[in-house]
Amino acid sequence: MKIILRNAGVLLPESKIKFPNLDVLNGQKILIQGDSGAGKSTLFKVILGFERLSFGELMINDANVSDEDFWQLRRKIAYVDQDISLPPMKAYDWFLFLFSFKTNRPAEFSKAIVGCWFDFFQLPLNILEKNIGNLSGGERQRLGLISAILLNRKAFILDEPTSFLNKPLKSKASGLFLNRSDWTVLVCSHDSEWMREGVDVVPFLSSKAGEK
Amino acid sequence: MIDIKLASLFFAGILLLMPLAVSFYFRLGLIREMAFAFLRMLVQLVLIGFFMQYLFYKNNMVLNLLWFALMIIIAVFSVVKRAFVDLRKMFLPSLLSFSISVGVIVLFINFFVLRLDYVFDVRYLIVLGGVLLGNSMRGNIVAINSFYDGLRRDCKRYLYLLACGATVNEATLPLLRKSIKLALQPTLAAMATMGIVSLPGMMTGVILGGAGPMVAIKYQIMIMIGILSATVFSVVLTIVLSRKNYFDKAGRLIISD
Repeated sequence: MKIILRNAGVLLPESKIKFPNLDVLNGQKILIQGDSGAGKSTLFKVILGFERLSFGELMINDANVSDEDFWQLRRKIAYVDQDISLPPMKAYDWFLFLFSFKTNRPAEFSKAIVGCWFDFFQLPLNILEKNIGNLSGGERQRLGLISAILLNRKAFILDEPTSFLNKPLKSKASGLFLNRSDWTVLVCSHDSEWMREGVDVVPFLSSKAGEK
Repeated sequence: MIDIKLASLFFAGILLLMPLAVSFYFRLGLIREMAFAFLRMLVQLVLIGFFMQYLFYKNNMVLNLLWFALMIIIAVFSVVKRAFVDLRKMFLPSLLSFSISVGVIVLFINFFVLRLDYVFDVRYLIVLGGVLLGNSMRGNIVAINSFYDGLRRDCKRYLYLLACGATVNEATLPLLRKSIKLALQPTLAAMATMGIVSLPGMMTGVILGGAGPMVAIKYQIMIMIGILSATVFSVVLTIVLSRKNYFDKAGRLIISD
């Protein structure tokens, strides 16, 4: 998969966001760095088809994307959003729900596999019986990461995915995503653990100031 | 059943002095409002009385169905107004939903339960249909409000589910579940306390109409089953039919307000 963004941006009622040019190729790891509020989350939402581009081009596999194409794209990318918007249900029910979606049914899912990832992320297994609405930010974030991994996709869009984790876990999580050569990762994070060799850093400066 | 003489009705009017006195004594400022509500009721009921008398006298299928259709349209406007939704997006879905759900259930009851030879009989079509419609309407207001309000508030959650590979239908399933449950709560509560806490209107009517309590409870059981099924049926239909008007081709929520 190849995602290209050229001279693109979004017009907001009182400002304008201009995105950096992007070339996301298979297996590439891209770290977007920039000021808070520059529009990094908006950039990810545009790629996933949640927000419309006001100008510029978004191309997937060298073709302009239409509204219908986003459905296909979303099935290939796993996304962890900044607020980890998991629905308020029992964690185990969440996994059942996630794998009840038609596209996700073929993905391998069992309590044993979930257990392995809980172990990796140092989450106690009894979390599975708790309501996600009552979990802490760090616990929810790890659930979000585990969900993304379990979907068995090859591309990831991660929006501040380690903000609630402690230092050793930040390092462990970023290592996991960055070391897989077949995974394509587009991440924005303020955590230095994502700055590693082989990661392309794309600066995203706020364009709001000075421009109307 | 004992008819009430017009002159006797004035004695009921004397009872009105009680709320008026309370309003006056406690300075509730409700006298104007009470008078207005009372007069409005009076005019509406007199008009509907004459109209229903005509309807009962004719008992004509086309006329009965037309009146039934008008009731549905009024219910639709009431739902749209009270659930704070866009008329253009909701009119056709709720019109279809009410017509199908209440229509099917009232005819089913008339044909299979009451075994009427003439299923469009005004006494059953309009009266039973009205009870079903009124209850479905309440359920729909609750459900639609909860569903679309929830969607607006939990937009991030909805989008996250899309990113997880969900279709619009899959991503809105938790909200749909919640809305149906919420809409059924009052009916289920009424059902569970039936006869103890609430003395149901249908039963009161049948007893005042001169029939025995055993006939009354059979009617009540029938109508409660009818209300429960009509509410579920119409709530699901309204949401499923209106849902597609709220999303564009990429599944983005179209927020109009």
